Amino acid sequence: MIIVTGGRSGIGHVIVSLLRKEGESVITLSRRNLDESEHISCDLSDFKSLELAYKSIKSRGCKVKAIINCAGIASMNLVLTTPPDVVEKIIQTNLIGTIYLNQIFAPLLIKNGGGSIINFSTIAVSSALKGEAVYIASKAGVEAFSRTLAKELSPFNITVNCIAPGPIKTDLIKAIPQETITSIVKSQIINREMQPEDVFSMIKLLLSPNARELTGQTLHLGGF
Amino acid sequence: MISSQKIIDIVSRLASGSAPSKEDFTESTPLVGSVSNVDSMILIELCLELEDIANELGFEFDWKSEKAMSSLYSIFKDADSLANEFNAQYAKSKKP
Repeated sequence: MIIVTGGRSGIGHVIVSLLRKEGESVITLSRRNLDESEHISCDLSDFKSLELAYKSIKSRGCKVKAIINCAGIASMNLVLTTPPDVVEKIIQTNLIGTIYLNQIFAPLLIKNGGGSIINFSTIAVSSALKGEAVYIASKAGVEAFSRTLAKELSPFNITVNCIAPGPIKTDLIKAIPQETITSIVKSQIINREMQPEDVFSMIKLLLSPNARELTGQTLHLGGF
Repeated sequence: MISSQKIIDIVSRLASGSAPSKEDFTESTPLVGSVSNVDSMILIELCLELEDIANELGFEFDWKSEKAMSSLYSIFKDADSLANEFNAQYAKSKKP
């Protein structure tokens, strides 16, 4: 089984669809209340809520081989005009939520005898995109956390990596002006706006046995 | 309830082949810190086994602690400390 957060919208939704199309069993975690056995409603920024989700999955007795953490929020704003509640919400969801998710769910991979954790960062960390400082700070934290967690989990045959895509047309980047998006795409080694399917190709690579020695890395989609 | 000996037995089994012999583990063997014979991998596996034992006893064992890595105050200071913490959480869970 593969656990996907944020799998009900954006890139995550496409990834879940493609994983299922390839025959994978997927459980999605998000805030949405859905009456589906393959979905668990939980607050991904709340430790207790994630613990309940962990217990629910553990009680099913399924073998979990991967955790793909697509959930995230962004808010384009200048540092000096960002209210404190927005700062806290972004850090809580993107960084603290990722830390909680990884520490609570990693035991499922240990019990499986190994597996993969894939967290999401952004090209904006490398490009220091103006107007995204708090979002970038949260994702830079995710990259550093993932690199260190990779060291702690490597004895358990678990890899931990980050995928850092450039702009992909989803609600997450709808506030970013088109000229900014074009400029970011031009800064990639491959000057093409990536699609969710490109992210899925990278996920397939990271889930494959050929990538067992690839860990602690941030992979820039399209190159940077 | 769990005994210190049970914890020693689990650690010895987890460490078999990769660490000191079973005889090297006692109630006072440090489970964390620079003088410990128990590496972090064994410590995590021990926690997961204790989680399963706790589930069988009908409670949740919480091993997260601010002082987890303290050689003086950690619940992982030695098998005695860990057994005491486990049993205290079990007793607390049974209180109405």
